[in-house]
Amino acid sequence: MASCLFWLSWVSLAFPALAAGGADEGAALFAQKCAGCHTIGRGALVGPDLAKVSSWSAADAESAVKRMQKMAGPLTENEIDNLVGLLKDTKGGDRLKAQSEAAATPEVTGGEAGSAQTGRRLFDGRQSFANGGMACIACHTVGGSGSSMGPDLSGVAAKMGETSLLSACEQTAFKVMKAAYAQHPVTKQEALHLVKYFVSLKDNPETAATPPVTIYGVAGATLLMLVIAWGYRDRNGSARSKLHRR
Amino acid sequence: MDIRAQVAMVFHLDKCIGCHTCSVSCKNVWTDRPGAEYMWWNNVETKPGTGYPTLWEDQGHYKGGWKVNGNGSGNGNGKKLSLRSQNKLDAFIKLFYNPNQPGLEDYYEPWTYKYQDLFDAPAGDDQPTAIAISQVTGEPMAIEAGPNWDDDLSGTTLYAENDVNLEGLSDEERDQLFEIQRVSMFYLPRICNHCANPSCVASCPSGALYKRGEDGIVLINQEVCKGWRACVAACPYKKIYYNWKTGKSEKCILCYPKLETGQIPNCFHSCVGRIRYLGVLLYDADRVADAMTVNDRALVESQRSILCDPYDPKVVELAKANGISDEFIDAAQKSPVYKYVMKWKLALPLHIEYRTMPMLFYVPPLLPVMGKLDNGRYENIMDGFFTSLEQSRLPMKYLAKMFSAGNEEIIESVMKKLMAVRYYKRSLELDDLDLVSISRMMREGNLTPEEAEEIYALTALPTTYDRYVLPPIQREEAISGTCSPELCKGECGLSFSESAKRGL
Amino acid sequence: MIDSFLYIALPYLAIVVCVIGSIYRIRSRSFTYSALSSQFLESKSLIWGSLPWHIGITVILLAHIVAFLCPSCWQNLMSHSQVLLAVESTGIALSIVSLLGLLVLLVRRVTSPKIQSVTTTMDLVILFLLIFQVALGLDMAMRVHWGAFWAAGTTSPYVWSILTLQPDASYVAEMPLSVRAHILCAWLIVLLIPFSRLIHIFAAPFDYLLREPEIVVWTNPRRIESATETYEAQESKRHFVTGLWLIAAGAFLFSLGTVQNIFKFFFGPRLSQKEEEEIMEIRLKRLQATAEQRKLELEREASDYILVAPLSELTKTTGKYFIDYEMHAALAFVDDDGLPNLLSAKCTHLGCTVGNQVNGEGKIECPCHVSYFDIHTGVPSAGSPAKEPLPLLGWVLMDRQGKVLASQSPAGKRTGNVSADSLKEANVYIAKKDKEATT
Repeated sequence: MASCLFWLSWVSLAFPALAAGGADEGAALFAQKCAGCHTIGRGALVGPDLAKVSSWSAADAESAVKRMQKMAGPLTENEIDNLVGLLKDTKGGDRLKAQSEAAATPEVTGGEAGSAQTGRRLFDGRQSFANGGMACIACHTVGGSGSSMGPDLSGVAAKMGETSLLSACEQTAFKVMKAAYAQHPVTKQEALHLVKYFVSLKDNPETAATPPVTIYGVAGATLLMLVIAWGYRDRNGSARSKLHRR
Repeated sequence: MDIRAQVAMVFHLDKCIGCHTCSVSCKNVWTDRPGAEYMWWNNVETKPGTGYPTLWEDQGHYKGGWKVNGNGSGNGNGKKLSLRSQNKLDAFIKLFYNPNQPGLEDYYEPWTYKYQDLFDAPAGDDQPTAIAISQVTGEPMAIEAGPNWDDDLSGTTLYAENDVNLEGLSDEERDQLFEIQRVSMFYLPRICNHCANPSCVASCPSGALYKRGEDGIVLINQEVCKGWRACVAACPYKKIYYNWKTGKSEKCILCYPKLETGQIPNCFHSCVGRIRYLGVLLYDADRVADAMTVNDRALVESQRSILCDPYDPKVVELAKANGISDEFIDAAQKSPVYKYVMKWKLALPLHIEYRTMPMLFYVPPLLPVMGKLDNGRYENIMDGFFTSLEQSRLPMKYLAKMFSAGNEEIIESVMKKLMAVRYYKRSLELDDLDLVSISRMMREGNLTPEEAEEIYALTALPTTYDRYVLPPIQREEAISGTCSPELCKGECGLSFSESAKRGL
Repeated sequence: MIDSFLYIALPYLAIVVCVIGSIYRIRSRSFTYSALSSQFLESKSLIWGSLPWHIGITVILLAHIVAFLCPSCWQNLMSHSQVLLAVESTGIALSIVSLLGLLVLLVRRVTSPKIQSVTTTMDLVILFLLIFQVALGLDMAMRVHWGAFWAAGTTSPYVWSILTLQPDASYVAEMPLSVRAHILCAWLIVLLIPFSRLIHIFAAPFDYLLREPEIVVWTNPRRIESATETYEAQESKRHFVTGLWLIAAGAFLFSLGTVQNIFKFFFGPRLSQKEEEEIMEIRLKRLQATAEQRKLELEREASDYILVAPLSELTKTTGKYFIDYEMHAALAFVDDDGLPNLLSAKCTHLGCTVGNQVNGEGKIECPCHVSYFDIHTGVPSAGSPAKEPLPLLGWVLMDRQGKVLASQSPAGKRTGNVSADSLKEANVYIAKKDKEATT
């Protein structure tokens, strides 16, 4: 294995152009599996920035990648090697960038391409997820409409690349989502729709405000109190106060 | 026919002197403990007056008792009774807040005095005083009302004027009633009526109230009671009290621990006027609800039709089949209550129009009737006899409101009989009356000389065992024994003992 | 750790205490089991406290229960934005109303001397807890929004996980502070039910709806003989009614789930053919991987010798990890005399894998609890948490052709003799017979 690693890093050092321009499996895999939470040299997202991993020992990096399998799903030996190679590479960040430029539209084997319209319907719950997960709007807002349980996703496409977004939608390895979607994973096709929707928000942002539930609530409370007041309008006072002289 | 036995009562109001001995003896044994200070399972009211709790007879205010669904007329067929205070659904909202429940201010805030101050006060120019302190808060308080606040009209016409039963009386009749120093009044001792059709039992959401099958005593199971207070609102006589300390409701238990040990209930035993009678009545439980659906004027007769003749062989047979013992049947045959209620038809239920079929009967007071106002002077009526009924100082209408649901004929027949007994005995003793008119009176009063002697004997000369005819309600036969009331004084519960404490 | 305590231990403690305590109190201390109304002492302000509070909290609690017991139907319901909006608004309205009620109750309790005379410390504790709890709920509803929606995927599965004895705190451990406080406060309130006036929740008198207006109790054995049948009939009727309630409630919940599944079967969203294939493929791969691994294990166990490494690759300072017959990690070193030295790497303390770097004293370290073991004897140093020595393993040296050159049993008995020349080409093996000898 060590020789394999060595070979990989050597190859990537020796032929960066080849790795970036051609089929950079490590970078592609990273974009697909890890980019939802991690970057290399572009700051922390949900998980930490992995730029520093290049200075780790190969064994450490490998065990770290293996540990992440519980988040990202099982990886083959070869995939692990590829990822470790990418992480150990000091130019990993550049390779990623090159990769994402090369693959501007994420490839999905089979199925339709993502549709922003369907994404929106999935987001606000008009269309339910195939595996029964909650609609995004339960916790997230877009353009100020929705819950503030999770972060606002209006500008998420600007912060993360499409591949990262896709990965994030699919892996859902975030605080509350991890448990909530463990039994109800988002399918790849649905993730594609959602990504399309998030990207479309860049061009035409939504500004629908959250319906004024608080105002409705206060109005309802007032109404209820009035109903009680009306229902008991002629309740008994003290009988003693009814005593009077003729 | 489902023949059941009921320990029933008669109070002879002509003999009541309003001394409150009954109330005090009851208080001392049963309600002398925290949370029960304000309760008077037995109380004595002055009539006319507003009573305790204030205006308890005003069901427009308190909404106690039953109402008949429909227009209330007809012979009762197909009519149903329903509670005035709640129906099955709104009972659930009323758990949280019961708009019909009387509050402490409707009774009175119980108090005691700081007697210790009389001993502890430092020497000074002024006499030390013991100020009143509330038994609820323990703070000094201004006394605004008491359990018999309108006793003897309380020096004012305020209470008498507000008597609910005066409704429909002319101003002239009212003025006559309230004339200062010549006011006419009588006393009305009240305990739980142990009704045959109890609205309190029907109202209890927890099912804690029940009527004992053997003797008809209505009780609250203190362990089942959850303090929903529906019974307090539903009892038209306001004879169920909420213990504010323990959060449970309580009521008169007819001293059943005493009855079960062959003793006489406290208020009966201590009555100095010997006005009280206790005895067994047999009644047909199947027809109770139907009998209470007839219109107001027929209610007294309707109740009488439910009560059974204990000498009727068929009744005896059915009673035995129902598990009623020979001793009970024997007691029912000797019952003074049966004589007053059924044989002589002298005793009437109080406010039968609440339709709970009370099993406590009152012999209406004759005394205030025996005089009239003549040229502003109070005169004894020595002639004309029954003509005095129309001009009696206590109007028949008023008594009818209380004792016969407004049916004056029933009150008049009772009055005539009572007067006939009196004049018959007077003619025997003093021989100063015209025998022809006496016999006319006896005829009109539907009275024979033998019956008159009997009534006289049971009214004026009864011994303890004439007044209280009870079967042995053997305690060892009862499933749940009780502890001795003397030992458990100041504690709550009867078949168990808990200190008067709130919650855990 | 703290999460496990707060979201798993506390709930179970609360539920157990609540169930056992309530049953005890209701059955054995029933005189203390009451709604403890204080309307008798003060009713003017009570109407603005008790009524709004009870009405509000009853509906809110029912909504919570439905959301907890049938998360998926609740979630489907909430997916309609109008329904969600209506539920959220109603929820806010009701929590405002119940909070108002509680505040009135609190003010009444502290200002009225009559009410004070029946106030216990527990009453106040409960009152403050409830105010805190409702305020938290209201705060969530107004600031976080759509709690009715996300509860279906977070708190409901959490409650289910508790109820089905598979507690999983991860559903809620990462939620915002106010949500976690709301959950903890709820368990605290459950815990206090049997010790406070809250016990009256269980007294809700549903029997009243169906019972006859009159209740007659016979206590006299004479009568009971004839009344037993009636009594039994009444009892059985009562039990029947209670059972009916429970069955109806169960059937209702069950039917909610079933109806929903049927609905989903016919009209629900489907996986596309591709997606289904993908999922099946992943499952198949996992199964295959497991099968392959197992096959390998069996093969290893079947072979007489397992290769450790070429002797030339072994060093004195850095152990070479390999897997022994028991599928445990083991270490291979080379001795001064050029012969291999094999010992188990499974720490005898708690089973961690011992490190492979030899320190200056010829010892290897277990990283978990810092036990030092001598690489030649396997004996731990004095003061190490591990007390037993690491078992030494036997070895077999073979040349490339598979000819046995020398061997050593675990006990240290050496056979065969090797020259330095042949050592260069030799491979180190462990032998099946050694394993059998030790076991």
